[in-house]
Amino acid sequence: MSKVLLILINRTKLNSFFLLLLYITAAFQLSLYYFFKVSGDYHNILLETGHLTAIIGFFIGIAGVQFIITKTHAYDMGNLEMLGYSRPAYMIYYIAVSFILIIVGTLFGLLAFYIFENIFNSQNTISKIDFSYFKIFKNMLLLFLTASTLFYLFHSRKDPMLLVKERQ
Amino acid sequence: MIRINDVQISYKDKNDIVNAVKGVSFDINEGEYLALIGPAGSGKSTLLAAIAGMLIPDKGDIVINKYKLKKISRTKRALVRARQYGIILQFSEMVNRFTVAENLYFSWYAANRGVSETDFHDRLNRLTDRLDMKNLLDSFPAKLSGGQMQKAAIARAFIKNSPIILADEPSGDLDPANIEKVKELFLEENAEGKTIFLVTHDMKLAFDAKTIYEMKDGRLCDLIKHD
Repeated sequence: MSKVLLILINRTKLNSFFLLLLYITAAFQLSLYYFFKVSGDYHNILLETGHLTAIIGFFIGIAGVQFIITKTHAYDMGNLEMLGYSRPAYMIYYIAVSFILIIVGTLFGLLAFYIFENIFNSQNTISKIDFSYFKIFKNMLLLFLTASTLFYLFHSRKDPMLLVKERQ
Repeated sequence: MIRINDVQISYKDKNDIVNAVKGVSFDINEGEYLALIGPAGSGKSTLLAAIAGMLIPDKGDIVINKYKLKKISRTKRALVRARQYGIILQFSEMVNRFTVAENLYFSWYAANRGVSETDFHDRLNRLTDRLDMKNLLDSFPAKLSGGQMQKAAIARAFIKNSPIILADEPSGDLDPANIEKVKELFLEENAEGKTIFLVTHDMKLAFDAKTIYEMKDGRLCDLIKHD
């Protein structure tokens, strides 16, 4: 991994930690929803719809946090562009950091769910769940990665001189 | 060589359109030390940003070597900046979440990808000795005083070893002893062949330049000195 990427990961760790917690919670909630759905534990449609709505709301909230965090990087991006990093070059670094966070968050979320399920469910229903279980996490991963990329594109659209003026 | 040809730049400030630069033309030759002086708001910094390719003129051309900055893509302009320019902006803008050493590393790396890191450490040692700023390397820019930040921004511009230095008020927050150090650094780097374009209020610093232009109200009004 390049030193530039390592510095970026190290210096954005506070924001990253916060986002990581949100991704873990999102993955855990998604697991819970899928588990209840597969095991038939939603006894009425209202309960299922309510849970799903809460998850969608939570996802929108995470996208909002991603938007704000990427905005705080606008000044940094202007500085990097002033130094000679092209927009695609620094975007790759930022998106790589996002990708790592989302992957780690999703894996931790799944792991947390697996532990939770083994403690509270002696029947180990998870082993019966088919491979489609993982597809929804692939979609979650793509969703957050796309959102993150779009937000970085949006916040870096101005001339570098104007980005540099966006000092926090 | 940089050719600035009838450049006009305007920008929006709240609801007003400000015509910051109104048809400026001049050349900066290779190895030249050129200073641009003038009152605040005369368009000097805007012109410097345009020469750096960080703003696009409404009219006119800025040509560096064979590249017309207006005609090339934003990505290509960044590459030109990486290879050609070391830039010091007016408020010594630095990435606040990186330490001074990390800011310097990012600057060096932009121009020297693939070069051994020993080159970075050599240049870092030399510059930090010259500017007496070794103790600042592990600090974050937000914790520095204006003068310290300015020294860090100057080091960041020079560490790339770019052929052209664009400096906007590099001595604004420095004490007289540090101004002398910066003057010496600029003169020595110019003697070694670097082109220096300086925007300043500080006549002491400007007077080292071989050519001094004055800018007023967006126009180049006087050639004050030409050796």
